[in-house]
Amino acid sequence: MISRTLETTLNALALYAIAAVLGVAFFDQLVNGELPCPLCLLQRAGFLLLAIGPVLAVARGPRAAWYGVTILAGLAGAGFATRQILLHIAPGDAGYGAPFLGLHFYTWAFVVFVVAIAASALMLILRQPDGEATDEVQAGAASGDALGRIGILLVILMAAANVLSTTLECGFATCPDDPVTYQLLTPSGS
Amino acid sequence: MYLGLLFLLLTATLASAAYGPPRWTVGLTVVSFVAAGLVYFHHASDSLPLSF
Repeated sequence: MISRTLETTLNALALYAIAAVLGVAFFDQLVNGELPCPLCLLQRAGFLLLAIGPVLAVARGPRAAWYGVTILAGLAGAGFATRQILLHIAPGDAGYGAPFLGLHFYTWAFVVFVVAIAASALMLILRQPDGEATDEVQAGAASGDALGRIGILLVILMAAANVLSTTLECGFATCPDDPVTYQLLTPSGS
Repeated sequence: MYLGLLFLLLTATLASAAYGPPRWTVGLTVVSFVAAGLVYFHHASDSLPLSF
């Protein structure tokens, strides 16, 4: 059994991991100039759905129900990624975007979503039942520590950055399947 | 445009999960999941180029 304090810390670290995944996606977009397709953006949304459970655990104290939210988000995200994997599974299809460490981003996304589901299941096995932890009060206090607060702010910042980036990329119309320019930064008629 | 709105909704949901009242958080979380599902089904309407 793990303590509530350790459980809160692990949830805070999960927020850093999610922020790092979204950070890598932004790095590829801004440095390598690879604009995300609609399904790629949907997978980013999946990672933000995945962050809801850990944010709740860090801000309000760990509860079994928050892992349920995380598992549902993991299933949704894995579904989004599977769709894109299947779109490029046919022989001769080079896939969308450049590979990263041998796999495309959507394949990595699928792996991360499955790992998140497995990690949530493991936490449900290892954690003490709600209301039975000896350090329940300390865990509540730990939620306000710097590690957790910064993790929450990082994820919210990533979500807000995606609002801006997606609005610039897609404008106020439907996002193109294979975007090459930022709609709002491109002069009309060009 | 709807993807930008989805991210805006997710930003509000995460902020509510951290700082907002529980009732708002539950509502926003449900709406976020439903909205993401609807966007997914919008993009899953094309047939897959499967070879088997």
